[in-house]
Amino acid sequence: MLEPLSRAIADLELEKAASLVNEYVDKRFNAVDIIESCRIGVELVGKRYQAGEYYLADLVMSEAIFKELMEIIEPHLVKVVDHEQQNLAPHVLIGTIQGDIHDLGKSIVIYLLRSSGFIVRDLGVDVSIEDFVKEAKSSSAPIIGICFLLTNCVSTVKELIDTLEKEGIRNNATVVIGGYAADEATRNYVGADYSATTTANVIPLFESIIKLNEVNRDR
Amino acid sequence: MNEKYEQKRKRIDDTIALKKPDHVPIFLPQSYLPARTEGITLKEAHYDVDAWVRANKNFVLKYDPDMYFFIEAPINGAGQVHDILGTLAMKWPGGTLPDDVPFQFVEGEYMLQGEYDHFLDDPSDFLLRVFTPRVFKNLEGFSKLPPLKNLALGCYGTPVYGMAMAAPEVVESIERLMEMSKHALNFTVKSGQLYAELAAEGHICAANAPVLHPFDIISDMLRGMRGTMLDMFQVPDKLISAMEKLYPLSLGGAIGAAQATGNNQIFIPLHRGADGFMSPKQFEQFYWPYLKKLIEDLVNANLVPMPFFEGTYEQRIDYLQDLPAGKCIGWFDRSDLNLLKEKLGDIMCVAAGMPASLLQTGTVESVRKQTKEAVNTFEGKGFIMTSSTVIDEAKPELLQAWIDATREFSSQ
Repeated sequence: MLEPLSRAIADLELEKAASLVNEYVDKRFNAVDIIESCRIGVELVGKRYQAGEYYLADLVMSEAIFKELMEIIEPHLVKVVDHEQQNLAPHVLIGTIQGDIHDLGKSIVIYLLRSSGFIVRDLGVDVSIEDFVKEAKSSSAPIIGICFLLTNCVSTVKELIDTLEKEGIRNNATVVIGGYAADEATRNYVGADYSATTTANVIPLFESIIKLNEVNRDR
Repeated sequence: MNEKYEQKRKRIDDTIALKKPDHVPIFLPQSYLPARTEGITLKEAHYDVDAWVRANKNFVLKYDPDMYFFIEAPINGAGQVHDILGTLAMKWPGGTLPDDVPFQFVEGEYMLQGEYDHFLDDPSDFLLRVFTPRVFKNLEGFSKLPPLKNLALGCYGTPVYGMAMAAPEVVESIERLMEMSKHALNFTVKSGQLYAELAAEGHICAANAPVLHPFDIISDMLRGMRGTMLDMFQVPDKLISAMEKLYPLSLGGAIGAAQATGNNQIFIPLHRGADGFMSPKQFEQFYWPYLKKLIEDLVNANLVPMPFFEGTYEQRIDYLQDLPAGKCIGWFDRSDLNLLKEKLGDIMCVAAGMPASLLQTGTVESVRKQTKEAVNTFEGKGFIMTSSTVIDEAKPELLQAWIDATREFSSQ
C-alpha cells in the first residue's frame, strides 16, 4: 500500500496527505488502493487513540482529513465501496435508544469501528424498542450497541434488553451499552454484556467480542 | 437568617475552608427528580411554573439537604419561551419532544469557521443578525437588520434604522421577544420567591446561575464540539481571539448574577476540558489558562467558584493544584476519590461520592457501602457528599438511605 499517505494521515498532516493523493491520482494509481491506504491511516489514528497517544480532537481531525481526501478521490472511483450499499450482513447494529437524540458519541464509535473493518448498521437516534428488535431479527448482527446519554433512558434500555431476551435474539447477540449513563451499575441493572462510558476502548472491546463469538461457534 | 440556615452555612463554609465541620454536608442536585416525586410530567415542569416551584419546595423540605440545586437547571427557560421563540438549538418536553422526555441540546455549527472574522470584528452584530436567527426560527427578522455599526451615525443613521424596523419580519421578531419576556419574567420572579422562602426555612441553594468557560460557550453554542476541535488545528489564533472576546462576558455574568441573587457561589459546568477531549498540549493552550483565570478572578471578587468537573479530570489534576487553597468547591463526576483526596485535599473542598446511577439501580446496602467509603476517604474533612451529576431519576428509599448514611458515618 501507499505508506507515505497512511503515515501523513496518521500524523494528521492534511496538506501533505492531500498533496500525495493528488500525486497518486495524477499518476493514475488505482483509486481503491488509495482509499485502502487512507483507511490504514485512519486505523493508525484509532490505534494511537486507543493507546492514549491521541485524543478525541485528533479523531475528529482525522475524520475531516479523510473526508477531504475522499472528495479528491471519489471522481476517480468507478464505484464507491459502501458496505451498506452492498447490503452486507452487519457485524454491529447500533442506535441511540428511544427518548434520546444524542448521536455524537455514536458517530465516533461508528467511525472507529468502520475504520477497523467492522460493518456497522446505524439505526439512528430515538430508536424504538420495536425497531431495534425488528432490525436485530432481520440482520442477525452478532453485536447490538445501545447508546444513551440520559439516565431517564435506563428503564427503556432494560425493557429493550428484556425484549431481546424474550424474542430469543439475546442468545446469538452480544449487547453493549455505551454513553455517559452506561456505567457498570447500569450495565448490571439492565442486563447488558458490556458497557462503555467513553469511546477509548471501543475497538479492542468489539474485536474481543468477535473473537470470543468465533471461539464459541467453533466449539 | 435563621439558626438552621446559619448552621448549614457554617458547615459548608468550614468545609470550603478545609476545616472539619460537625458532619459532612450533603448537596442534593435534584434536577428533574422533583417532577418524579411530585407526580408531574416533565412537560408540566417546563410549562407550569407554579407546579415546578411547588415540586421543588416539597422536595427540599422533605429531604432537607445542606444544599440543593437551582430549579432553572433542567428547564433553561419556561416551555412557553421556547414555543414563542421557535428554539432550534434545544428540544424540550411538551414542545418539540414527547411530554415525559428530558430536554436535550441540538448541537450544531451555528457559527461557521469562516464566520470567525465577522464575530471577532463585531460580536454583537454577528450574534444578533446571524447567530440568533439560526437558533430561534421566530427571530429570523433580525437577519434583516442593518449592521449595528450604523448606530455610530447617531441621528444621521435614523433613516437606515427606520427603514429596517418597518420590515414586517423585524416587527414580528421584536413582538415575539416582548411576548416571551412575560413568561421569562414570571419564571424568574417565582423561582426567586421560592429561593427566599426556602432560605427563610433554613435551606441553601448551591448556586443560582451557571457560568460557562469561554471555550465551552464556543463549543456548546456556536461551533459545536466537532467545529471547535477542528478549529484547534485549523484556526487556533481565531479560536483564542474569540475566547478573549467572550471571557469578560463569563466573568461579568458571574459577578452580575451573584449581585442579583445574593448567592456568592458560582456554578461553572465544564464540558470540553475533561480527560480525553483534547491533548494535554491543547488543554494548556486553549482551556487551562481561561479556567484558572476565571476561578482566580471570581475568588478575587470574593465569590466561591463551584466548577463541575464532568467526566474524569485525572490527567488534569496536577493543574488544579495551582488554584488558590480553600476558596472553591470542586464538584467531581467520575474522578477517583483517593486521587482527589491525595492531590487536592489541601487545595479545594471536593464535592463527590455517589454515582447517580447507583441511586437509580442500587440497593440500600450498596448505597450505604458507597457512602461509607466516600466519607472515610476524606475523613470527614474538605468533603461535600454529592452525586456524580444532577439527579433526574432515583428511588426515594435510596435517596433517603444516602442522606441518612452520610450523616451517620460522618458524625461518628
